[in-house]
Amino acid sequence: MVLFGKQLQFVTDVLDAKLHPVDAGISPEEAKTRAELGAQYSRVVMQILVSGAILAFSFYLLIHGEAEPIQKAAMGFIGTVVGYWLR
Amino acid sequence: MSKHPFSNRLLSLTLSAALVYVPLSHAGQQQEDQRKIDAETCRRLLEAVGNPSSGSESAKKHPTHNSGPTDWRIIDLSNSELNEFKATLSQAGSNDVVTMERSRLFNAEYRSALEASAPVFSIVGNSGKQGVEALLQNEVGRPEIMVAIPTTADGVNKVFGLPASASVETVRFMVDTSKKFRVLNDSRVLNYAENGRPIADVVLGRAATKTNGMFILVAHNNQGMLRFPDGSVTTVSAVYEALGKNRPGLVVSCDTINSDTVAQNVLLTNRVLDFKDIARGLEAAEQRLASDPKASVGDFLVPLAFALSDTPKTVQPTVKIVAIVIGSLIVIVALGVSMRCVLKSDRDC
Repeated sequence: MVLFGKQLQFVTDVLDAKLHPVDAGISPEEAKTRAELGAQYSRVVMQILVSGAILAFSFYLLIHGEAEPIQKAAMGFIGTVVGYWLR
Repeated sequence: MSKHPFSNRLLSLTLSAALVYVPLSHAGQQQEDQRKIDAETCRRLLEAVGNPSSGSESAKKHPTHNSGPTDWRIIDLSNSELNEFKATLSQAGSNDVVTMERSRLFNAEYRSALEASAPVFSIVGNSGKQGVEALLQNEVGRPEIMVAIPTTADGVNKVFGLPASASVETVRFMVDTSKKFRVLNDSRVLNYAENGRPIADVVLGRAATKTNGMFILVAHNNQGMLRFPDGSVTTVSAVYEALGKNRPGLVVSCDTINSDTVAQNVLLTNRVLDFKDIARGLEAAEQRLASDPKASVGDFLVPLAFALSDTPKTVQPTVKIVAIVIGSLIVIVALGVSMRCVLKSDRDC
């Protein structure tokens, strides 16, 4: 069974490329691929920050929001973020 | 939802929890099962095959190699068939040095078994166990560590083939890495041609110098071709040829066993190596040498091999743990909010 979906695999690849852009036997093609992945690092950091902010906001609404529509919306946000990271 | 708000919410939370946990826990269980199977297989193989042939005196004193990475041992697989080859390698440690015939490398199954195994170093050839033992028992003396890695965009382009526009991160990484090599005793970082002399010539010249100190070359290698930051090239075989019987030596680079022309009766690496791990390994090996100045080549290899084996090559396990922790927190908090409604007996919550 594949554990990671596309998104988590992408994050793994980007972090790997950032930590190890080259090794002692890398081919030029692989070096280029890793350089391109490494360049996506700030994008991944931004995705994590935005997801964290949405989750924090959603949990705030879930805990403090009394009205049902607000709680529904909070659940919707959480579901969207979880779905995005599990896709 | 408006008729049964609580039961609907509980149902959706349970489904969310299942979505997060089922794939994660199932995969975790599979890995756990695999580990149990591997451990069981190892135990059975240890009973069935017994210890492989041991070469070093120190290894004879400590027959169980898992007691700690302090001894080296020779695993002679010259006459092993595929199953025995795989079985023996599956119980080998990073401190073991494999010796085998060159013909084994032409078989993809033997090669992949070797690449996936714990031993980092191999000796290919026909010198037999005595020849390999003699090689590993040579004294290291005062090692000479030559580190031919790039630290500029031009050097990175010449070594890794990366254009300057895409090499900023790589240059930063290599500069950082070179600092780790510079702190080693007896190391020399070669970034540029020396007085108009190509790095390849400098390296081959030093390798051919007759002295007792071990020669260690750290460089990038692709299919046995060593590329240096000034654009000069040579081969792993040429370096070992220059070393000849002048001095013991080692080319520390990625899977030098996977070369177009495999050098025989010399130390070769079995796997992809990270530059920072190499620096760490050499530092550990120098510490070993400081505590035992009469250390042999085999003794020197043990901490080096250990450092090259103990770091995970991917962040995947870490990402997995973070995903599980965050997923758990989401489920716990969401369940907590729902339970609050239960405790308050507030059906409209």
